[in-house]
Amino acid sequence: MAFEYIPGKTVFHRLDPRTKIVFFLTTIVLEVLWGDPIFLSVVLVAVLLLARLCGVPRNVITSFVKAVIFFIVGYCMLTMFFLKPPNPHLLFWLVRSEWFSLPIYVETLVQMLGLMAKMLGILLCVRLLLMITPVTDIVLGLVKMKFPVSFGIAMTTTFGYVPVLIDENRKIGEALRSRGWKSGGYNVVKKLKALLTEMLVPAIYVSFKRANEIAIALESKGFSYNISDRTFVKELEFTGNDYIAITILLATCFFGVLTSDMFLGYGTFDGLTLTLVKGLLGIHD
Amino acid sequence: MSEVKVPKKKVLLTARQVGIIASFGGLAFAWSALGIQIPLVPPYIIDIREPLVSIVGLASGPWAGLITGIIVGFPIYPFINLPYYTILSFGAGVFSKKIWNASGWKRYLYLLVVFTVLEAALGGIWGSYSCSIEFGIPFWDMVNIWFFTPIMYIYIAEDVIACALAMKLVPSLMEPRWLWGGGEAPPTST
Repeated sequence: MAFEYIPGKTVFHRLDPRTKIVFFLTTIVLEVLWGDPIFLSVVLVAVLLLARLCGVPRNVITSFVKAVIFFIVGYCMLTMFFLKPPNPHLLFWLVRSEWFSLPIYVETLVQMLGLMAKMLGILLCVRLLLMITPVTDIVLGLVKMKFPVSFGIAMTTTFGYVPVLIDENRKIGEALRSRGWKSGGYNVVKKLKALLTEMLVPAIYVSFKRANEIAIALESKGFSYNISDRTFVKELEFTGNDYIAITILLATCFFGVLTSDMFLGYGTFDGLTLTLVKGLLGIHD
Repeated sequence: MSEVKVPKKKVLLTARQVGIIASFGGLAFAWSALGIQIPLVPPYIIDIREPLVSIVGLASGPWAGLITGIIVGFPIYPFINLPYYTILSFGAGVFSKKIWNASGWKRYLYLLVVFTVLEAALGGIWGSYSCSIEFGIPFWDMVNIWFFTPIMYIYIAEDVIACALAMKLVPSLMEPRWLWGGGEAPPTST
């Protein structure tokens, strides 16, 4: 499931959802600012370590990594066609013929490694946030951060409904397959046609029906009655741990900005790792 | 007997809008979770998130579209997807009344124009820029892939077909009644 909450009593579970949102934002900022494989690997290892400290079972992490790794590696391999470093140093030729050549440069390889660590880091960070925080708490955190209450309710209702929808869509798919429906094999056009006509139409039809039902249910519970003065069953409060965590996260963010190409530049694609690799291979500019 | 004083309320989203967000936003999220998608040239994939957020924008307006965009764009690559889906749905919402008020073939022409502009701007500019920042792929290569391969046109077709069908088949639910100040006006269609 996309957001499977794993209950626990670790210090990270007990943190305020707002602190966890800051953690998520900090990771995204670092992933965006950095391109160097060493820097990005540190972020990736930190996220993995945090997941283990939060009591996330190893098999959950490995099954998630297995599910996305082929996509990430495939994507990074294809990216090689598009990456054009400014002053490239040839490592070897992957393909070399009269009609088509594909050189592999030192810079491209380093950039690809960074790319893999970055993609995996972002995906794991989102997943970890959802594994250690119930979605309702995240929404409550957003509401406390001055997000409009009706927006918060819309988000909570949506996330609360997702398991029902997953089940329903699985049933639609199974019902179609039991009647001999084929999703089109490897033909993209046939697959698209099958997806749009056979899957999308019943799904949209059911959605319109359900939208009405949800609206009636919300109104019957007094949704539009003085929404701005709503109270909450759970009240959020910052503790000492939250202040410590936010200080560390802000300091990390500052370090990220300092090492980005805005200032020192160690964390960029042509930063620390490339310098080290060039030094090891004896390449001089 | 004293009268119960009902406080004056200011609703940003009505129950109908929340229902549409929950139903369609949840569906888009569920399809992503089930992995129902067709991979194209990486990083592009075809799934039903685009048509669903567009339907929400058209049916319930820009504010509802904004929320749906956040819900759909947050779980996977939020830096790229969150602004993409949010602006797509918000944009569809902004132009929804103009599209709805046009009659006959003009309505579909407006749909086509709006989604072509939105997809060209979002995929061509934001998508290419964000991918160049996040994955290091050169910006102009991404722009070329977006405009000169069928990818953008598939996305546009998906949006236009789904929205046109929804407007034709369920006009009572697709009628845009949203107000900039929040909430909705009473229905006009029969």
